[in-house]
Amino acid sequence: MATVPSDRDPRARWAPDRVGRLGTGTTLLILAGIAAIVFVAPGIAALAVVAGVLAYLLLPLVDQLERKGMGRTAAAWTVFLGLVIVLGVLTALGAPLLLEQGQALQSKWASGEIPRLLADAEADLARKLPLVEPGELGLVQSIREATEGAADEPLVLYAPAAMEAIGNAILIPFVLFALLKDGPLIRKRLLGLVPNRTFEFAMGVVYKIDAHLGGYLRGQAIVAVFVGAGTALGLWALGVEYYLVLGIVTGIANFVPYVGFVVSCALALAVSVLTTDGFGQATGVLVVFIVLQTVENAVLQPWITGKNVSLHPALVLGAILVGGKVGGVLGMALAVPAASIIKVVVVETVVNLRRFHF
Amino acid sequence: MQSLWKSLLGGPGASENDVLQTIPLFEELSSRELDAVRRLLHRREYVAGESIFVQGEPGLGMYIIERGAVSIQSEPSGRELVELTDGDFFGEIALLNEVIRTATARAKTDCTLLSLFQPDLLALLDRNSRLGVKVLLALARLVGLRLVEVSDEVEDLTRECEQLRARLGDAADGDGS
Repeated sequence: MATVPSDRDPRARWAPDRVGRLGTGTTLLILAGIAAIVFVAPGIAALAVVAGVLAYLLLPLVDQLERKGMGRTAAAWTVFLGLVIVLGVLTALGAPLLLEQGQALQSKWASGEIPRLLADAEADLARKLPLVEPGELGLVQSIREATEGAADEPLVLYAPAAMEAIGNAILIPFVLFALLKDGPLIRKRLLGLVPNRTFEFAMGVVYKIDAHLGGYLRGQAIVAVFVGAGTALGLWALGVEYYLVLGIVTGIANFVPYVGFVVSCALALAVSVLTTDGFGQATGVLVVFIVLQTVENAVLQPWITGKNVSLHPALVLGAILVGGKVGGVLGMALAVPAASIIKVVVVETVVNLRRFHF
Repeated sequence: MQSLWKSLLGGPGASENDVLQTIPLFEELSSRELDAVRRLLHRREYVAGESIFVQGEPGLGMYIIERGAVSIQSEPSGRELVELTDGDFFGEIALLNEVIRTATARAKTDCTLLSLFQPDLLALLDRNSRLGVKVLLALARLVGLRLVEVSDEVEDLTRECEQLRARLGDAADGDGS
């Protein structure tokens, strides 16, 4: 018993613990490596994040196959190949249509039809609003500037970008497969780096975060697909042009609560009004959006969003504003999921910290 | 891919299975099932004097001693309740339910422990229910066994108490007469 310090010795309680399997130096080296990758090659870090999120969304499928008696490697291969096939089929079916719609939009723009329509709309608006002079809004001008800037770049500059895209296309599947197959093992090894004294605490926090966030992120992905596909289908049935582009935009914009819906609905309405010169189809578009929004809010969201993940509307708006400032439109789309992740991490950490006597 | 991770992060040794097989919780498992259990275990090194868990904190799992000696102590006195060594295990109640630790576990020598946590056991039940049930049944048997031991002890203590009371009564009677 002489070697065992009693609890009354305060140094015993506060003495730094040895880091599990690896020494402190190794841990610091690994952390420094991660930091270096994030700073030197943010592109690679972003890729790892994309692959990580994809893997996180798909891991339950691998687990389910394992439950049915399949080996881990076989299950990972099945899910991975399944994803490749689904994406391949979708690309094969959707890409020509998407290209066609994109080209149609561009040729209309080039032929001056859309600018003319926009100019008409602007003149009309100016007539109705006594405060606004024709041309003062600068709608056409601003859109023209925004679209022309990108097209002026010389073709040479596209070569590195293309190479990067090919590199990404190879890197993401590699990381994704590794994570699908060894995800739980990697998590276990990472937890192994936590010092002994805080090990059980870290373990509890990680599991609780996983339980809350897993459902939330998977649910959000399902809702985005549902809303995007529903919009594309509805608009196609109504005969709205560019339905596929609009569906994809709506699905992505759906990550931004309140604002995303309004923006994508306004976009679809604008396309409808501009391309049909009437409001008959636009009414249908509005109905499609309202029905989808109601189904999402009344059925899907309560089902997928746990109490611990839901954010106060004021926080949601704040997150969107900050996200928009930091990362533009993409930042806005990612702001709410990111805020939810931060909230769950903070709440679970604080709740668990209270129960341990560090 | 497996070998890559192993070489990068260090893989588990074969000696883990030997230790696992001697533990009552896993003694009925085939070597393949033991492999599956081994994947859930966290191996951790403790230096002499380091606390493994502290009385009053929430517990999340059990620990198996692969090598070394662990002292289970009662707080705040620090009185040793029992000393455990190679192949022994402790904290198994936390596998069934997230409970407050009723004693402190402290490494007496440098030790290597294998820990199994409740969320991993629950995940195992979900993923491979046949194996999960086997482990759970063994755990239930063990807890039942400990309950029998405790109730035997309670019975002994009750008897001792009664004897003491009777002796005290006799003494009082003797004083009175």
